[in-house]
Amino acid sequence: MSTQYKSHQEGAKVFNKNPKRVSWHDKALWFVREKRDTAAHSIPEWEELREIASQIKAHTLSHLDKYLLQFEEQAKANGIHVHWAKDAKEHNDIVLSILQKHKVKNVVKSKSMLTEECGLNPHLNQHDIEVVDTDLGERIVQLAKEHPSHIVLPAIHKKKEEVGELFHEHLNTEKGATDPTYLTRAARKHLRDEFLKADAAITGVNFAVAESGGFVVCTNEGNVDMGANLAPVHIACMGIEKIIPKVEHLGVFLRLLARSATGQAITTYSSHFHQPKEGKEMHIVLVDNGRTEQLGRDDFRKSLNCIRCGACMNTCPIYRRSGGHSYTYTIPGPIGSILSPGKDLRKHSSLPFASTLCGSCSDVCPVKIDIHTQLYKWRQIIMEETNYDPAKKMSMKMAGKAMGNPTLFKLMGKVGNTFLKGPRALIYNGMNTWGLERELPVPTQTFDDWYKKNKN
Amino acid sequence: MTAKDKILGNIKGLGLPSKSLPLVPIFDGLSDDKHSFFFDALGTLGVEVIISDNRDHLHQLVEERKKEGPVYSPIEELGLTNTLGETAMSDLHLSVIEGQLGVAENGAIWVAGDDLEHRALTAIASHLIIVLPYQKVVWNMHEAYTYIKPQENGYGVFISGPSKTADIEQSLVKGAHGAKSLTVFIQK
Repeated sequence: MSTQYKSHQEGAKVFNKNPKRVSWHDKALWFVREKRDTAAHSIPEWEELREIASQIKAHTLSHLDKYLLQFEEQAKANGIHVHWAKDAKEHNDIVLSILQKHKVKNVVKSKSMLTEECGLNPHLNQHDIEVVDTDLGERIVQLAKEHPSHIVLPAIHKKKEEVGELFHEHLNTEKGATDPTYLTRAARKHLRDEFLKADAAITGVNFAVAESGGFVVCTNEGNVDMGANLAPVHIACMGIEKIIPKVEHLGVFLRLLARSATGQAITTYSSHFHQPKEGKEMHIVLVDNGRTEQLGRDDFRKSLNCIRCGACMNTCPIYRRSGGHSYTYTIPGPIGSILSPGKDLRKHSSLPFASTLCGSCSDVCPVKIDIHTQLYKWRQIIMEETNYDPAKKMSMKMAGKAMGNPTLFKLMGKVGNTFLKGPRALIYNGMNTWGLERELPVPTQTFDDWYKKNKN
Repeated sequence: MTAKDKILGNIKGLGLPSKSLPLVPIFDGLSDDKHSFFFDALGTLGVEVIISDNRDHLHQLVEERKKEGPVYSPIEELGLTNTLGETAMSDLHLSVIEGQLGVAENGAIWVAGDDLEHRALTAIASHLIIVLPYQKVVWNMHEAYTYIKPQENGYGVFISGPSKTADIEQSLVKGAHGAKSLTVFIQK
């Protein structure tokens, strides 16, 4: 596909070529972040809920084997077929074999970042099975032959003019039409036809309940309900960390999820599946694909708390100004940047550096993942274990020496200030990346002088 | 070794220390009047609310809506249970279904699969009416789950408002895949 870059910096450079779009993207996501704040502040027990959610996740992860077995037993008793996949390939093969057994040609899929992670669509396409993504945002990026750029708002990077053009080409809408209602209606009609002719539906899973052997999927559009309830076969694909112990815990997570994601009190549809309808089949695929490895990393285990709300992306100053496609992993933004190095340290080595370490991601996280601390920890590991950006390594070493030596630090501060007042060519050139695309502030005094004056 | 053995073996092999499971309190409501809070929440979601102590109003409403297109309801007393085969589902103008429980804090209504006859009824009609008894309103989701046993229904869903999307430039559009409008008939 057209949107994979080697490093975050490379992708960000491409996105930043259009400053108007950067500013528009930034504002659109900040608007969602503000809605999240209003929704969170509307319930007084918000902080308590976050703490409870975090503890439920920690408990579940510490007994994950027990809960997975309990889930399997209960789900089977409910008449659901349960499958286990250790990696992406096994997951794709399992889904393919179920579809082939039923001679399926047309599949409708609801939003699932796991199937994106596993590369399911191209795998099924190779075996002559057509997969139609039914979430509107996902359908837009599918028609554009792109990946989602955000986990909750997959087409947040697209302007309505671009959607209009895509729909004109693929769905026969009027040329030049850009009205969101008109375009959404056209998609509704097109996707209804797909739902009605589908032989099978694939969905993701937001929460799977060990106690009851069922699972919950949340959407605003109702595509999960249309797909799963019309097609004769429903396959749900989930990462093993999506398990929660009891039905009552759904109350905690459903209150947190939509408020954190879009600022809604709850999604329009929170659909609970526990048994197939008579004459139909329901399957669930439990996928590891690196999750047990992450579980073994003390410093990064908590990243498995994630309930995929996207709040960390909406608040991240780097994500908002570099776009989701600049990341080298399926899940962009702060959470993706701590999940991906564990999968491939070298391939994703630039991601933990795509952060200001401001900590806003950790502040908004509904399950209290210490995202910015984990980003910092990955940086240290990457610097030690890879040959990441040798120039940065060298300059950091020098900065470390200077900061550890008061005399040298004072001297460098004075020299730096003199330089900033000097000829522009000495500061604004290719050697100094800090001087690219920005004016550096010229200080009137050194920190040392300021401190001496103000220490009392 | 099967994938299941490998995954479970990996987890057991880590020997992670046990963390305790917290208790979840049933938090207090934000207002003394959960009904008016619930109706306000529905209003914010763009839901039409009809409160009536007369069941005839529901019958009249359904009769009126029949003029607009095909209507189906699994609610026996409405006399519509045999009007539809699976094939005509896609042409449905309106479906009328029963709700089991309303949640004041977010305007969500629990619909149990066993009341539906066809599970697709929650989303497939162009418009949706949910009938909910007045006394079946709880404050929040914690309270709701003390009443709901989702495992006793093969399928069940909280519905809060008409289907919607904001995937094109964050513009809110009602009627993505499911119902374009939701009316909640509150039976006093």
